[in-house]
Amino acid sequence: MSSEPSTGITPNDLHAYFDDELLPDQAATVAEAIEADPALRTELTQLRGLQGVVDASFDAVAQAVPSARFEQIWDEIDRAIDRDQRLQAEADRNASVWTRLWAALRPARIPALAAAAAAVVTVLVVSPGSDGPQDPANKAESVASVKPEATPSPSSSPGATPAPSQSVPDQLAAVPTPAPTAEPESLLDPMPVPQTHEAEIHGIEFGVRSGRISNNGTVTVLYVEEDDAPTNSERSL
Amino acid sequence: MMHPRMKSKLLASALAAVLAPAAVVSTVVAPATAQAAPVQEASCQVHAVLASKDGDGTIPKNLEFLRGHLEQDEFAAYKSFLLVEQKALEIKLDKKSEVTFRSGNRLGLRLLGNDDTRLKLHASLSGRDGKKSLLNADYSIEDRGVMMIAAGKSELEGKLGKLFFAIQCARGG
Repeated sequence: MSSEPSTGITPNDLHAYFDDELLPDQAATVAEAIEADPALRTELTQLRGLQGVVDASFDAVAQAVPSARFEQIWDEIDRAIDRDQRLQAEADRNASVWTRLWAALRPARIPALAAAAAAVVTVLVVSPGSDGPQDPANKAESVASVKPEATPSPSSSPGATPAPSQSVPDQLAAVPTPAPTAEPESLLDPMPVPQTHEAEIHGIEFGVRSGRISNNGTVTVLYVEEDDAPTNSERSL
Repeated sequence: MMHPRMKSKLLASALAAVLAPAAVVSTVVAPATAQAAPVQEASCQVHAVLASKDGDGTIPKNLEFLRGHLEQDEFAAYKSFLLVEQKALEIKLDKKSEVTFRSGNRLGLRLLGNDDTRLKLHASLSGRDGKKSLLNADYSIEDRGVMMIAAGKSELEGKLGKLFFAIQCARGG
């Protein structure tokens, strides 16, 4: 598409004329130029031909979709709208039922809660006594109260030869562990740990090559690593 | 020119000014040092702890007293701690006491001395065969302070970890 310098009609003018977008006097001017110029006429003819091709293609697409299909599409849209409205209405009805029920029970709320609390307290108080006979040793509380046996007093047997060490009965063996997650209670009263407890090493002798001292100012750890395979502590008994 | 008697008086005054504070300090400090009476015995506890890399990092209740230690970077690699065993020892000055753990390790402790706040101790640890000497250490630590010994890999109830001995001693009579 090219402009016509002799007539002063630009392609934009021609397209506007073709689309009927010009004012009447402008359209008349362009029409006169088209009459006088065969090139403009040819170009206008090409534009009309292109428009015809485009229209025909859209008509072909429209013809390919049967009208029944459009009806089907609209039916589906209508059904979706109806379904949403129905679900919303049901939700509203349910909410209103609960709201009405809650409102109806309003006077009985506090007595009902009090009755439920009383029932819970009753169950908690009564149920331990209704378990039937149990071995007291199997109760966790009694296991935890074995502590006095763990630390015999040094003055309890003044005449006896003092043993170099007093081993506390092993709590892992003494405490039945029905559940694998049960933790043994500490039988020894733990000593309060002071705020500053950094150890000062005055002399050390390692029997293994991998021995080392770690001291971060708070914790002192002496590492010794035996070279053999890991030992099963239970089996080693 | 200064009179000789005046000069000697000035010297005596200067000397007294220097020596008086020293006398005061020695009067106050010396008895305090002397108060560190020799400790003849101490009560010790040793907790064997299995530290494992599997777990949620929870410190069990029976190891709560070690929380300050177990939360240190030194133990950051471990996510669970299990109290395996605990022993109590009464140790005496210059006399060795020993306990044997289920792992087979024998731990010996001996009281070497003390000052006003610290105990000086000797610790020894054998291998799992109870014979091979792994460690002999002289150390001093605050009363009831905790010294840890890591005794290598161990396995308990199918859980693999590192066995630690936490040694804690408090002065006795």
